[in-house]
Amino acid sequence: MENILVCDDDKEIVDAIEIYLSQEDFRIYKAYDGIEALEIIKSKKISLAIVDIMMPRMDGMRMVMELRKFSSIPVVFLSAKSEDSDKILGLNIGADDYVTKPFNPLELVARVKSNLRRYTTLGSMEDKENIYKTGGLVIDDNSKECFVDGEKIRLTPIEYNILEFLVKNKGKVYSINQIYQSIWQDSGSFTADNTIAVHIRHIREKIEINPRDPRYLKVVWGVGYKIEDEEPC
Amino acid sequence: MLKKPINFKILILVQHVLAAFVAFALVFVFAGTSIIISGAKGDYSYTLYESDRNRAYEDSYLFNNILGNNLADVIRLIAIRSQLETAGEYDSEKTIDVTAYVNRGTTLPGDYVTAVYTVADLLKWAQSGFTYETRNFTEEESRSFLSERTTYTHLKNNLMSGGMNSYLSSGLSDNSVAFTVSGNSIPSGGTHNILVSRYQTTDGRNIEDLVSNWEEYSLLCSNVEEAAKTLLYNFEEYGKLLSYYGYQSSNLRYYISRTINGSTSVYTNISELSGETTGIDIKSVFEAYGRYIYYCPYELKYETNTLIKENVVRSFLKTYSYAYPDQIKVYVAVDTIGYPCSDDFYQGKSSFTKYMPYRTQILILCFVAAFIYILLFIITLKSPLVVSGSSIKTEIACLKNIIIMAVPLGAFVMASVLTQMSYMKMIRLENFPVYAALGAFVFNVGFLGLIYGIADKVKEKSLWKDSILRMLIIGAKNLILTTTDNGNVIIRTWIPYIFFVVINLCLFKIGLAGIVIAAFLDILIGIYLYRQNLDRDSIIKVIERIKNGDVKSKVDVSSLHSDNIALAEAVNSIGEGIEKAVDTSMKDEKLKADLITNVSHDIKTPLTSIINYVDLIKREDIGNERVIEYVNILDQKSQKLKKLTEDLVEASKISSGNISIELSKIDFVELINQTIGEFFEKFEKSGLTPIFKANEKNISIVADARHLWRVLENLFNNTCKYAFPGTRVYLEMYTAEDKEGKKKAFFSIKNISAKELNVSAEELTKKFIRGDESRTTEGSGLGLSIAKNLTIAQGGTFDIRLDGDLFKVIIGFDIAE
Repeated sequence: MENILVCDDDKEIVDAIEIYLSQEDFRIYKAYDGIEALEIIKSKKISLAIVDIMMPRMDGMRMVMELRKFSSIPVVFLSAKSEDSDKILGLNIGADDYVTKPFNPLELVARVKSNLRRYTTLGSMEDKENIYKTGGLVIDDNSKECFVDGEKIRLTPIEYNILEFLVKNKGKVYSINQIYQSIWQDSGSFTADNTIAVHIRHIREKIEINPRDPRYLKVVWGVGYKIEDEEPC
Repeated sequence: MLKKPINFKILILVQHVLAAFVAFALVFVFAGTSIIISGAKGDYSYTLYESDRNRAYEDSYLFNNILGNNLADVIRLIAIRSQLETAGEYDSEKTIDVTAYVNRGTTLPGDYVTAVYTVADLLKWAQSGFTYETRNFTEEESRSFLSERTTYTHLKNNLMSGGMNSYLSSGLSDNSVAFTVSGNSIPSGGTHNILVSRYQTTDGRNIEDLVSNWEEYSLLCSNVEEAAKTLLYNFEEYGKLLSYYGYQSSNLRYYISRTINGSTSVYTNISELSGETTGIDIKSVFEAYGRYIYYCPYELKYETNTLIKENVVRSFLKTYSYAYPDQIKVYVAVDTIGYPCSDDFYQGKSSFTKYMPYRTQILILCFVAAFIYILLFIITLKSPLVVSGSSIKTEIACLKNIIIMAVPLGAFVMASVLTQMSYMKMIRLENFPVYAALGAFVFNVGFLGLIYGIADKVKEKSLWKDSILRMLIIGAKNLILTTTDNGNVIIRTWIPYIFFVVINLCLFKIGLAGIVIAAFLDILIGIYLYRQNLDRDSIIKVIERIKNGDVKSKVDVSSLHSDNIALAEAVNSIGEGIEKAVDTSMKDEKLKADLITNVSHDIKTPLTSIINYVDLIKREDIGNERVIEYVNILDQKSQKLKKLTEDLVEASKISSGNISIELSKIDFVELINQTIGEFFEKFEKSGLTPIFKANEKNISIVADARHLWRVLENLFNNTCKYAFPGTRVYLEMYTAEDKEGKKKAFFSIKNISAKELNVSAEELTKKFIRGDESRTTEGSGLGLSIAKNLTIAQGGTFDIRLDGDLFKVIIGFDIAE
């Protein structure tokens, strides 16, 4: 049973999160400001922390900075601040994920689980031949299987081919046409087709927790698609 | 600082005195630098040399220059005396061989035609004039008029030996022999000029009696005439020079003896020496006078205690070689012991002693005075007020002072006219420095009055205010203004124009000068109009810029003229007003955006709890159907509230310009395909069929990709929400040129609206406006507003067209190079 710390100055939100997470067999420790949270982390064996940013006494940012001095547990920020700049700042100071309020409880749970899996199982998978990975996304070309944070994802053959192509060439941006040509080995003429775009949307829905805010399969608007090279965050 | 105007009066008085002194000193020094001394032949101008300062007068250049001039005159006097005198006295019966006399400077041939007259006859003839008659001669008459034979004179001895030239030789007794030769040609007839014979030669003959042809006749006539006229001129000078160098009138003493053919003649102005001089040592007599020159070319002797060199004397003598053979003795002296006569030597001495010693001192004093004058001038000019505030009109004050300044100058000119003296001579008058000082004093009164008066007016800033010219100009201006300003446009424009045309026509009537003046005036008017238009142009440019959004644009008023300045200032203040208004509204928008952001933060936290607990309720096992329905409504509305807050923040941020735009080159077709891909299921769910057509494979545009995605997302969402289910959605992409000829890419999305569109296209993009007024559908009503503002923020265009139920949005972007 994993210990999760939930820290928010709004008691009702903490309680609601507790309900959701305890249904998933997590033990919850509750804190209402940064100082309390740090004390709990120091005294208990906490596997993951969900932290609000705007809190009395010590805010989330300061708390995470302090936390990172002695611990590398995953931290998920949960904040009403939804600006891009807020997210970037939060991730930069050492958080692993950023969820904005009001949040979808299912998404939060999924993210918690994903972060936990990555924290506990990452590195356990050995590097084998024909295995490509980026962050928590792993493509096993031997068995033609795909894993996200250790969980197997079911893909159609076309979806698999597209994802495999992009993962193999991670970091590079490919236009719809380029992907089309590489998958169907067809150097044929221009197709104003959006089939590839639809497929990619489907892949995203399968491998991403929030397809609107993808971690792995990114849309470069007006240019194409790519698999993020670096680990997210 | 200097006190009170009283002090200034004293200061100015001091300045007047200083000016007077400077004038006095300058005139004094000038007069002493270049003195005029009247000599034998009028006024001679001499320069006083600084190097003479420590010398005695007799050793000075001045003295020697005077002596040199006198020496030349004396040598000329003796030459003339030798022509007119016998034994030291004027001899009217002295004979003159006219041909030899005319050619006295050159050499005569051994035989020549001549006539001999007495001095008196020649002088009288020259005074009464030579008259010629024109007569016609037959050959016969010619022969009888002229002599049959020509009379020649033969000089026995015509050598240059002993410095004797032809003229001197011809004067020797028994040296000339006359003989006659019969004419070798017959004189021709025709018209000839005949000299009317007034006097006859010493042997009682006329000119025609001496020659046998016309050539000889006219030559002899002209010789007679020339000899007579020259002699008369010399005779007049003889009188003048003789009296000038008289013993009683000059300090110069001379004694010149010349020996020709054994007989010696003496020319002197010392009566004791004119007679028998045996036993008298002439040289010692001359030495005793003081300064002397002794010159005897025959013995190659030259002695002097002056600065005159032997070659100077020799060159003087050479000019008159017909009078001076080698056997001469020249004694010249100046009585420097007593200066008994008031002549040029004496004048020179008095000038020398008067000016020489003080010249430098006076000059230094003069400079000091001038320096003090300038110093006082500057001090006075810099002090606040000099003359207590007189309110005289500028021009009158100036005129008064200019008249004062003109008085001494006028007096100087008048004096010169009345006394008929040259300015230079007047300046050298003994008392002139005093007059100059007085004149300078008066002039300075006017001058300082003028300068200080103007300076005061400048300091009081009343130079222009007190001016009559200003009064006239203002009067004219008021007249023009009152007649034109309140009049209507016709009066304001046509009356000056007609006036201008009439002036032009009048000027053309005058003639050439009028045309030139008219052309000049027209050029001025042209320049004026050009400048006016230039001003207008710059104002219009600024208005144009303000119109185009550059509200900070300003007209540079300093480069404008007359009424355009007022216009420009008005434009500037309108611009400032707009700038202020834009600024304020930007600030307001920003404030609003901040407010909305803060409020939405505060809303989000409780909203989170609402959503979460609604969700938790839904998970509970609720048997009551009505509760389930209510919870569903709560769920829907809380989700909508969430969306609304998000959109609100975004919309306010965009409209307050609080977003960053990162323009890059993107493929518009690719973007649309991606977007369609994203919305594929949504279209299907809404029962819509998207149809995408692009007329080119790749269309690159310049835009911010993320923001453009937001625009398209909003538009597609809009379509999914409001399009009539079961219809097709047409998506078109094409390139076209806009009004300014710039190539642009356009994307249009059109669909059939499910509900009747009862709003205008413009209203649709306003915040919180939706196609249906009842606001029952989902959506915040901000989608189109956000899309439009985001598109414009990226430099794109955003158009909504409504045609019945057909709803069409066209967005356009610049094509990337």
